[in-house]
Amino acid sequence: MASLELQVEDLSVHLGSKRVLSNLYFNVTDSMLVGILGPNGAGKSTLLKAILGLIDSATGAVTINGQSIDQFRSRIAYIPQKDQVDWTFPATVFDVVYMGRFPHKRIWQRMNSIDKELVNEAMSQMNIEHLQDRQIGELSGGQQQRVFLARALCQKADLFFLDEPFVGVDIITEQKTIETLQLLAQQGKIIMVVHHDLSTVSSYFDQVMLINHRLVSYGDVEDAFTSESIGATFGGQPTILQKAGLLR
Amino acid sequence: MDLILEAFQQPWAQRALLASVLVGLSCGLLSSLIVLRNMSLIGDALSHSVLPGIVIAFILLGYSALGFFIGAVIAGLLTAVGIILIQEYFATKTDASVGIVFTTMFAIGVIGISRISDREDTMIDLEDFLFGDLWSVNNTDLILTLVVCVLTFVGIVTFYRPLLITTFQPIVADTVGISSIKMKYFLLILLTLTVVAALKVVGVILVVSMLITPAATALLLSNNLKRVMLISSIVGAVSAVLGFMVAIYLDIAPGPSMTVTVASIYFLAGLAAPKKGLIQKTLAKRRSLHQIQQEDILKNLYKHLNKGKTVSLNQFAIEGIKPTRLKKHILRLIRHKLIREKNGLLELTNDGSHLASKLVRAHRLWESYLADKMGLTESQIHADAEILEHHLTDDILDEVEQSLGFPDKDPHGSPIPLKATAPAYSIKHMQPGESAVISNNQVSEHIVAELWNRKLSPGITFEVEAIKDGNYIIRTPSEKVTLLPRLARMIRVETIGEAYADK
Repeated sequence: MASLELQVEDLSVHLGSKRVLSNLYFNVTDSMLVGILGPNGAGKSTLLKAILGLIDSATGAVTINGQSIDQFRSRIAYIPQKDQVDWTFPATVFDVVYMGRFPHKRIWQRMNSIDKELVNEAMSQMNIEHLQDRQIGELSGGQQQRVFLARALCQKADLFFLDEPFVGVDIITEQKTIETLQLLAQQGKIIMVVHHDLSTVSSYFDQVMLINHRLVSYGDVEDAFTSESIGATFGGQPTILQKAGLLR
Repeated sequence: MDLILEAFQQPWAQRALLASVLVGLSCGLLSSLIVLRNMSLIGDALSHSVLPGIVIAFILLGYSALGFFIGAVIAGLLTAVGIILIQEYFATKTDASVGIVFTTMFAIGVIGISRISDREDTMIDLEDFLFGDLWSVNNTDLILTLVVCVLTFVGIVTFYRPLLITTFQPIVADTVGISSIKMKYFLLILLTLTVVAALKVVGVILVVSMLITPAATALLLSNNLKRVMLISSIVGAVSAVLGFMVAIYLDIAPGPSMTVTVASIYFLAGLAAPKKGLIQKTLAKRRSLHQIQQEDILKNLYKHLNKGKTVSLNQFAIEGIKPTRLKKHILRLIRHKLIREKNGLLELTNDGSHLASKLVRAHRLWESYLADKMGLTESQIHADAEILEHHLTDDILDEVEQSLGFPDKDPHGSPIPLKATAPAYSIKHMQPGESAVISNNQVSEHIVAELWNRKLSPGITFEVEAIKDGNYIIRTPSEKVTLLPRLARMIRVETIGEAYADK
């Protein structure tokens, strides 16, 4: 795969008179699994949406390999927070995973055997084949999360954006998810994950991005995830530092 | 009945019936998307705001079905655009802006109609627009309705995928380059056309019933969008026909008759739908209560028998279950071969004792979990476990067992039964000095996860070195691992000969 770089320049978001994100600059290169952390309301979810061009009031430039992000849309997978999904929607597991093929299909093309194979492959990778005819509301939290990850896999995306994927899921799903993401990073993808559990940062991610309305620190976990930077992000609460295993 | 058959001979009735069916079909088809997107209020708004368009068309062209149609569609589209512009440029919420725009348009229309109907030669009547004028459907109306129905069908089939994803998750659709706003406009155009086509049949006020109720009914009956759309169209068409017949029979206005018919179908579905219906839900609740009681009986019997006590049918009592109900349950359990009666004493069959031990396992594991992980005291945990034991799946229990580190006993000191599917040949069946291979086929993912944590991958050969205090010390080519007895009992192994034969 050709190399990939996500460039963010002077990204700011205002909602009304409130500044949610101020002047963020950073570049993410391929083969990176990046954890985004910060206190509640620090603008983590907003950052993902702003990168994806989903917020009209966002200013600044987001490019991929120097080109507009619109050139890459079919190769971007986004998994919003679970509470943003209408779980009563009349769709089965198969239907949702198959949505991963939609960006690659022309309006007049029907589902073909390649699509079916890719859907089945993604479902079996996430261990949800046996659930394919279930309505999505009839699943456990972990299974629901695996459905959306399967959709992203089926999309054959190069950039992945996940918002709090480990909230309300079982431990097996969490392990399976992080293994899958690490594998994707090794294959040269860019993966950004909004995360809140400081204690798992060093075992899960290659790089960490600490946010509190501004970019506090970003880089490899060893360099960017220090007690000073965490203190600066979270206001130095000692319990937070203890959780991160940085204060004994 | 003769009255209805006779009416069907008349050309005006045939046209009216055909128009009703077409309107029922297109409203039904569209209503699935409208309801799922919470757009029903917009449908109502569009139907009210077409009036000024019709008035202007009348002033310009006189009485012309095509003119009315075009005028109405233009007014509808202007309303849709007006609503979106107000939302964008004035800081007004969605439903408020919809309300402002459509009432204003409707008021202008009413003023216009009352002005022109002062003239003596006018054939335009406000009531016809409010409640429909089905008996006067002419061929032009019919052709326009057919065109709208076909357009709606072709439009939805062609754009099914983008409509599906933008309805389900608009922001995800926008992320992958499928424009949610374009799909919204597309749907608004179809909605305007359909509403205008429905005016003659059901009228301004009641058209919204055909845009909501068929889909609300279908959503009670299916969990698959394509099927929801199919059922919803059928409900739309069927209620149009039935409503039509009732209207002729009782000599009432067809619009209200169709509305009442579709609502009746909805209530019927709400009561009797196979999965989501009220009757089914009530029955299921009752069944589940009875199942819980029966499971409690099995569990009680299991505990008594394990203590070496005998239990007779007549003396058996359980708190919270009435004696007559208890007897019924026991007879049912005997019929299902979970319990048998011998010389007046109750015994558990093999199946019954499996089920009972599963419940006790669930209860005691959950108590351990509450005590260990939640820090609750012994007195607090029983009631919670008593309820949850009936609902915990094997998968959850395996996870609980793993996270507790495979305990032997619960917080009260009672033994936790093993999973019923414990392997026939495990490490616990081996003696010091014996070797075997860890099977590729373990009883749960959680056992496999535990094995990986201890660097014991399936397929690896090991030797039991010693058994100390019940713990098993085993040696692989690279590691030396100590296993608690309970975990050792759950790890399926194969003799070296068997493992070799597999390959």
